[in-house]
Amino acid sequence: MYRKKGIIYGLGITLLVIVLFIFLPNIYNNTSFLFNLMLYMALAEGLNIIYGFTGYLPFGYVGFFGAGAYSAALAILFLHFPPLIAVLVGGIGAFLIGIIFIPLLKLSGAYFAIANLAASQALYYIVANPNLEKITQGPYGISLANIYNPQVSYYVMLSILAFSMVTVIFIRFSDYGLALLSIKEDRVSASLAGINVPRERSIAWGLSSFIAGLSGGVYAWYVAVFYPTTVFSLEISVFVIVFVLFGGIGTLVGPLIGSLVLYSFYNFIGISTPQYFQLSYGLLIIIFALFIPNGILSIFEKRGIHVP
Amino acid sequence: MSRNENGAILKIEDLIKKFGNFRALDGVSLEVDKGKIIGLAGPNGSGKTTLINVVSGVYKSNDGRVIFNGEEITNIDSHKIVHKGINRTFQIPKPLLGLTVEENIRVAAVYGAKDKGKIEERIEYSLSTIGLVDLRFKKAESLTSTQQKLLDLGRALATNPKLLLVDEIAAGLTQKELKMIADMLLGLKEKGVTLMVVEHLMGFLDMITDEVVIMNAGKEIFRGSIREASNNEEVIRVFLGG
Ligand SMILES: Nc1ncnc2c1ncn2[C@@H]1O[C@H](COP(=O)(O)OP(=O)(O)OP(=O)(O)O)[C@@H](O)[C@H]1O
Ligand SMILES: [Mg+2]
Repeated sequence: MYRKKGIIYGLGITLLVIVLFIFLPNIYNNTSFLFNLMLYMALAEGLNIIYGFTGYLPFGYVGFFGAGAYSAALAILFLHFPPLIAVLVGGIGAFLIGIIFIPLLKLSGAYFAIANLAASQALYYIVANPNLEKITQGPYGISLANIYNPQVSYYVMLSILAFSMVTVIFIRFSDYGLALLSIKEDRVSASLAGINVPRERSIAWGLSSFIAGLSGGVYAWYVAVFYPTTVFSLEISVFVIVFVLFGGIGTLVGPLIGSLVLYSFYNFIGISTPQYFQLSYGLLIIIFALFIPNGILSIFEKRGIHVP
Repeated sequence: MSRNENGAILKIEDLIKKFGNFRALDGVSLEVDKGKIIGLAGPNGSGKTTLINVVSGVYKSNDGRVIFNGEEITNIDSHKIVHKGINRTFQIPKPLLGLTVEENIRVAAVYGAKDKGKIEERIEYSLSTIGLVDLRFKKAESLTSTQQKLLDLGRALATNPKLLLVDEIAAGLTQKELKMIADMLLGLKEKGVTLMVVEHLMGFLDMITDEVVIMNAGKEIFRGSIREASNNEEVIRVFLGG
């Protein structure tokens, strides 16, 4: 009963988000802000799958984003794939990187976070290596000028956001979500409930990396010109983690609200003084992780108001 | 009468578990007969919990074998052991604290039993057996320690175990609660579940079984009736002591 209701509300919210982002460009012409907002929302939902449900904090989440951007770009440049297929290749590329990183899930807590961060940095150094200039253009960046199409890629981004939301809805209101939460609570007790812990958490990890890769792919298409430093920037990981922590982990709307509030804040006040934002968002991570680990939505939950 | 009229459901052979150079299990061998309750006692640190941890796959042994229903299951993963029909409770209860009572049991009913049918029935059965129906929507973290032990038991029951390893469920209970749990365990035996019950309180073991194994320093030192145990010199020296 509770689950059916949750799924219906969740899908309703997804529809609302879709409609909003279709109409917003008509009344608000800063579409690049809207695109980035959708991008952060999708990344926040993707990170939510692994962090919110299984408790693994992936500080190197941006690695999947960058891997997605480069996989898509290379598919366009070398294989001449149409952009839409290339975005999918971005998702698959990040997913494969995710599979390579699966052993990291054996670590716990801060060890996992640090190892994942190091792994994403390693990816950056591989991609940005001048010796790979023939393939990745090294540090000089990628140009996809001839497929530049901010209109279509805007809607593809919206579809990816919707996909990430639907994925989270079905995790949140299913037995699978319960299994992931069990793993987050206690891996030993979870396995004694019969859960194949390595398998279930790897599936969540794969979904999470796939969503980041799709987002990276469509980002590559949308901006058409980018550098390794842009798509592997640690700032992206930090932002996404802050947004999810702020809004509320393990929920559908928490990551959306966190992204909306904090990314708008950053965009309208912070962009001129980014260094202060990095500092204050770093502090926010600490404050939320320590004192409000379930985000602002948990304040509602405590009063008995269930939020999808 | 032979002990093995129904055969052994669990055979433990020369099991060794080391922590560093220390042998918490030092070649222990024992058998658990199908359909019975066997008590397991012994002084603190004699390896009772470690034995349960190895049999349930939480720890890997260094040597020896565990055979369940004729099949070797030594050192396989916990979830596979659960699917084969073994489950356990914890001396220090380990429910999924952030989940509700019902969710704790649901996840075990869905993932823990081989037979995927009758999930709702199994949830209700477990909830009513442990007597936590009224608390089903409460978070496990808000339960008392006794209720959390019961929830551990409920989580185990939801997986349809054939063999249940119970680790000191009676510690710290009132006389009335002891009686209730004893009846509950006897009820499970009636339903065909085999039980190995680790307990310090011989009085409690006396309520549910006649047969006990006494461990000391990672080995079995005695097997027989509680009566015989209380007359056995070695058991008196290391465990019942004065
Ligand atoms: N994870 C561990 N690491 C190191 N030593 C351990 C570990 N678990 C148990 N031990 C040691 O192994 C020995 C057996 O411990 P175990 O918990 O099995 O005893 P027990 O018979 O259950 O005792 P109690 O009656 O106190 O519960 C003890 O000396 C204990 O300190
Ligand atoms: Mg013990």
